[in-house]
Amino acid sequence: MTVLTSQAAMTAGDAGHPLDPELREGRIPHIWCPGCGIGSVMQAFLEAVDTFQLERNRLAVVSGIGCTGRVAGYLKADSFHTTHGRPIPFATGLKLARPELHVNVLSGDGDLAAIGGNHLIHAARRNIDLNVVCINNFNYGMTGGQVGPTTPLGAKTTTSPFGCHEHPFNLVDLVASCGAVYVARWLSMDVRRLRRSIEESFSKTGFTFIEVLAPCPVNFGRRNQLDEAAQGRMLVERSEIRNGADTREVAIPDEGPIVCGKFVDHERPSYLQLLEGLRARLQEHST
Amino acid sequence: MTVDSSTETLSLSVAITGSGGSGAITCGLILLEAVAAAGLYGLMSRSLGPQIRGGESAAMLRIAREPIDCLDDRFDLLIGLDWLNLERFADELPLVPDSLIVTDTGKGRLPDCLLASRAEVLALPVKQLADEITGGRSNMVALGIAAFLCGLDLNSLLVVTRRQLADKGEKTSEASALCVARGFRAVQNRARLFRPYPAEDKPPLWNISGNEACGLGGLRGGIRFVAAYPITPASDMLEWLSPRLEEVGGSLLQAEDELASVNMLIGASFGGVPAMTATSGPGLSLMAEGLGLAVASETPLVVINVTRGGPSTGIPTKSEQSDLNLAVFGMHGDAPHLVLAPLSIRDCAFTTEWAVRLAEALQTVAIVLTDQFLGQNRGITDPAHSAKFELRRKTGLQNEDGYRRYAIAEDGLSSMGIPGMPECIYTADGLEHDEQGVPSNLTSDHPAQLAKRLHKLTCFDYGPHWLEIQGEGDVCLLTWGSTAAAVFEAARRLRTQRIDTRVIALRLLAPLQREALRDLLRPAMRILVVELNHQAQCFHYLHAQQVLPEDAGSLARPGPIPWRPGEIVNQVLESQDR
Ligand code: SF4
Repeated sequence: MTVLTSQAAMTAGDAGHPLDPELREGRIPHIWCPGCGIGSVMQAFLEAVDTFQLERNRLAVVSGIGCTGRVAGYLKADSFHTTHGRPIPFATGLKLARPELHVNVLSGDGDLAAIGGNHLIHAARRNIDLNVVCINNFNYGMTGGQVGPTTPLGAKTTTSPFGCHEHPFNLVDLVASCGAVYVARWLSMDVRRLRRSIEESFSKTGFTFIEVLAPCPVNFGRRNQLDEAAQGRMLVERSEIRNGADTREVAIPDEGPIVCGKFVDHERPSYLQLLEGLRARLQEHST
Repeated sequence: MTVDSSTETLSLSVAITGSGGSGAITCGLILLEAVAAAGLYGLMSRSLGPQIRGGESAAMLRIAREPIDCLDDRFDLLIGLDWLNLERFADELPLVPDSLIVTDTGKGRLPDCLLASRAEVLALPVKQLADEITGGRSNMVALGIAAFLCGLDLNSLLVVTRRQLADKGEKTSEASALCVARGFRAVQNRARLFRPYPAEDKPPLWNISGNEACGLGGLRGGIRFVAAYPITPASDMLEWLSPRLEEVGGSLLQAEDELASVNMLIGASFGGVPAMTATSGPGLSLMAEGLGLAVASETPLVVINVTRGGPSTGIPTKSEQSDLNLAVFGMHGDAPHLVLAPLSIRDCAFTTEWAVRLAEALQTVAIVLTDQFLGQNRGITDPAHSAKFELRRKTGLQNEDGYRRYAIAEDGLSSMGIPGMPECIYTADGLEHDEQGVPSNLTSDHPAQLAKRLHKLTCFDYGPHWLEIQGEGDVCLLTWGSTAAAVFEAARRLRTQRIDTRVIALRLLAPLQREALRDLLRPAMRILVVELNHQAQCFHYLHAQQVLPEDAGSLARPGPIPWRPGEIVNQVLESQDR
């Protein structure tokens, strides 16, 4: 397994990093903390763009607000950093305006599933042609580690100092039940599988969703006796790959195995395909 | 001094009321179409109960030989298909002693509120006449009655009736035609209440609602993407736009909420496609955050806000001009943008087309404030032609030394990169940024970008369209948006009473053309700001912008009933007496 953290990626020596040309030089160094999982997800994404040979002028990256939200700004691509929770509707408008673009949303769990939750389920229902990568760090990192819709029961955060007493979302099941055509979950350290999965999602037509579990040592780990590398180690130790598992059975438990893998990969007419079909029917009617 | 000034206008006002399912609105719509066919101008307002669907309704029409854009102070003719729940409308149906009420002999006694007007009452067996025809309906008999009294021709009325009911099947349309003829003949022995000109040779008039006109203006401006969440009284604009956008290769997406719709617009517009939405107060409130993003990222978009009575759910089916504060000040931070307001149903097309072009050229948000009165009422108007503005969005690489999305330029306008232009890749951002678009909290960048976004709006030459002026005089009535029509008519009446009145109707509310407006107001002895909201929002806005003299007065009252011209005349006369 390739384990390459963002820090490693950015300090690869004077020769620079192989992905340097994909990044906006002026923006680096990035804002992420040491040990944060977001950098390696960005790396996996960029590698996927490369191996998939996605033309740069057909790539658009949209993100929201939060630690992950900063991704859009670091990439050399047409990108938009929306307000909190709104990358999916923004991306929807962009995709409809420019169907030839490959529109990607990279954002966090708070952005996509809390304040933007309504957009997430409706985008999956519409099967709008977007690739979403949701980085789940179990809390609101950017604002100092507050409880969120993915915080495990009992976990301590700045706004749940006695332990979280709310049930978290099972994001993959939520999105699968709304109709996404590709749903997977990976660890941020598993860059190789993550990259392949992102590549695979690029080839799908419709709404794809990849949840990436990422350590947030500074805000989440520290408050839950998972200092520095401990949270990452914990995730790796507990993770278990079960491709094709029923999403209803892969809620992240308080203890025991955290199931990763590709859960959904099927076909269903996408929003744009249905729209094209409608237009063809109208055309036929009028001639 | 109070006078009944309405006698000066050469128009006739007719109301048809009935409980849910009685067909009062259908009757009004066909009558309006017949008015158009006769080459007359007209306006039809409909009043529905607060429940939006079902329940009692009233069709309120005004017909005239000259263009008209507002209802009169009183109704000359009221036809009741029944009188159930009439009290709910009584306020909206002012009658005078020389009005005529037509009542159905089979539908019981007239409500006291009508009798109090001392109007003449004509009792006719309306339902009985309808029942004698298989499939006959009272509302079609009423249509015949109304049409005769309006001075319309029977043959062309029958043509219009059959055409309007064609999709209901042959049987229904024939039965309806028979009823219409019966109603027409039932009152033939009476004097007509209105005499139209013999129709002259002029291009056919349009029968259009303000919501449709806004949609049309949007398409003409170049709108090819609409995302919206349904809301009364804006939804019919979406219904009109949906098939027409398809025809021109655009599309409409019904969003999950207004947070989504405004952000979808930003996405489409960032992608290079002009985008617009339609909403009403509660929706505009939800959009405020997204509008701020569009302002900060300089992404053009247009919002048509069809204002209804507020705050909160308020009165969804009634008009008010109470979203001005929200439209002008609703965003957080310093977020300069455009606010416009059409002055009539017909003007909805022009103002919206202009708003789209301005938003595109100035890379900002334009909020167009119409209201339920303009939006849902239908007018018979002169055709509204496209203004064909030259204004365009500036795109692509403009300077050789590399792309700077937010470069500071003399006119504040920098060039927008569109995805797929490899030489102008950038990140658009709601975060404050430098000229490149890189997030920045430097003390130099924030003021410079704030100034850029303000300056591009304030230094732009808006030409003559920012207002309409009529007349000269010591009295100046300053107004905006849909109230303008009643104010124009009030001023005409005041002039016939030798009170020289100037009307200034603002079409562009933000940025306010302060210097020019101050110059125009300087000669006036008495200034009154007329608007339809409780807290005199425009009056206070103009004061805050220091365009009004100390002694300017305010004529502000809330909805649900729009200003009527006679009411304004009386207020002006009273203020003179003081
Ligand atoms: S707060 Fe957490 S998620 Fe945010 S950058 Fe730091 S480690 Fe990463």
